[in-house]
Amino acid sequence: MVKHAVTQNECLGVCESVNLAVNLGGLMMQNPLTVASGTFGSGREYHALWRNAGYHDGIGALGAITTKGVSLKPWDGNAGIRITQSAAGMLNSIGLQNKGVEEFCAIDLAWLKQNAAGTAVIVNVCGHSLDEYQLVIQRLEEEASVSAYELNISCPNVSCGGMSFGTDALLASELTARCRTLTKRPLIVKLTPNVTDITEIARAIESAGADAVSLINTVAGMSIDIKSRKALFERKVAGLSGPAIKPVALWAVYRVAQAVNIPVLGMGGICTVEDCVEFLLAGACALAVGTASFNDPLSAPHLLEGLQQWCEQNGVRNVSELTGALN
Amino acid sequence: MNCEQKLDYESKLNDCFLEDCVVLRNYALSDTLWRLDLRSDLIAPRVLPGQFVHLCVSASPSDCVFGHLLRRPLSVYFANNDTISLIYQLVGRGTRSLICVSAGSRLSVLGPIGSCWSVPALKDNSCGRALLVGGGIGTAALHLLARQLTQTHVVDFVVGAANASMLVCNEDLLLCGEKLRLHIATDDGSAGHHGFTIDLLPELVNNNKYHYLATCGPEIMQRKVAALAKSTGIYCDVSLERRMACGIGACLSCSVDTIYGKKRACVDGPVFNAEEILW
Repeated sequence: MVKHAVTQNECLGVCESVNLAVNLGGLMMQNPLTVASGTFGSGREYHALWRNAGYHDGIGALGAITTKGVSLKPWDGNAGIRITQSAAGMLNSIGLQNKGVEEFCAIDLAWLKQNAAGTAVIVNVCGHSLDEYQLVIQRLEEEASVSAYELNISCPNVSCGGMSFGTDALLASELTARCRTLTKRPLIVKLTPNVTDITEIARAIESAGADAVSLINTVAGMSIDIKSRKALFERKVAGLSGPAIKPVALWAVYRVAQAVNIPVLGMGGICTVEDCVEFLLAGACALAVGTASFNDPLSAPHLLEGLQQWCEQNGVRNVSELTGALN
Repeated sequence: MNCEQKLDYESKLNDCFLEDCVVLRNYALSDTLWRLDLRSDLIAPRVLPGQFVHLCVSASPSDCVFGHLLRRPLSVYFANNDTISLIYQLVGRGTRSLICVSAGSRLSVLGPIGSCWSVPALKDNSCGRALLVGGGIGTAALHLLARQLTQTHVVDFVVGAANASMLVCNEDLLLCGEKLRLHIATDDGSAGHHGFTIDLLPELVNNNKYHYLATCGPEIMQRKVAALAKSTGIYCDVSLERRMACGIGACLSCSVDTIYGKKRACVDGPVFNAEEILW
């Protein structure tokens, strides 16, 4: 491999710009960075903040916007405490609260169309049953501003649907196959790390027609209030995210990238430019920043600038060269 | 008056900034209460009474990411054109980190965030009367309101806490002038009435006609205040506290059950009309 043979000094003269564009299973992204579903709403709240910080395109700077999970009917989410901090991370038990696909189309998609027209929109789709996933996709097929789907079969915070599809290769495969028949748009399937062998699920959804795979969703965890001797979260289980899970995510991305031929959207605790490069080297084609946005709401644009600089300084002309370029 | 404005969602979002603020002072007021004064050019001039800021509890970015990932929402105690003051209670790891931040260092602050107290307009030029009920550290959220309200209203400010050292009540209130009537309650009787804030309210409500009631503090206290407001027909706002992640309305961590469904404490609140809340 001589991919990184260009030295920094040569690069300063030669690499005036870096091509950041990537192709995630047919989804053309202007750069490899998106956001992790559920951490970013539909982007509206961050858009204003980024613009106020001098990023004039707002969330249009992203390679893609990934929306919060959208279900057929409104979901209330979970009762009780929904988040807590943990060592180098946090636990959440939101429970996919959302207003349902109709209101999503009327409000969120309409807003995205008006304010982030140039950026790809990945809609994260969730459901309690195979039918519900399909009905959401059928409805979204009517909307021109949707670029791709991410099937959420990996959320640990709902009791019916969610992770139950993502821990069973047969079910995951059936859901993917059924959704595949409904759309020509890029179909991404988001996997949970809470399985014995994530590559088995990845291979199953690849065979069923998925265009890309995204991972990892949160790691199942728990917190206990020792005063009351009760679980902090009503459902007891919650999803661990943040830098604490990065090594777990990186290993999962590496193994899945080795196991399948479809591109990988890597995520799990990405906070720094070095994290981005590690995920790319492990085999990710694109990246999502999630929990880091809670600490630094400008995390995504900062990482984008940093990644571009890193590429310039390291003689990388096309960011896609880095994907899987582990020595 | 500023706090009478109803903010629409878009302008609230457009008025929110991320600012690295220089710490002017950070010092103990008592065993458990601290005050943090920050220099702020972007956030401070935009703060309305009732709003809060979401801040990192360490001046070191890597310490924040790897040690204190989540920001902490703190209501604004005082703000003028270039300064924000916050009062916080030492409760856990986050606030223990915050007390170590020294003057001259910089903290990342997001704000101003949220809804503001919505004082009904007075019908004529007559002087109104308002009742503010603060419990524990929640009292801090009422100070800016007290300062503004005393320009047009006589304000009965009921301040309660577990003990005298935890009362958010000091000489700053003198700036409210003679229209401020202070009523103190402590759980242990170390200052003022020996008991709860709520014990003092029936007499006040019986003897005065209030145009507005505002409360912030433990939810059980707010619930009782809201019930009293409803039974006596006083317009009442409450300010609710929730754990928050993003602080700008995206993550839905801070949900509040209302008669209109789930609302977000961060951007739909923290100030809500009491009648909206499903306690």
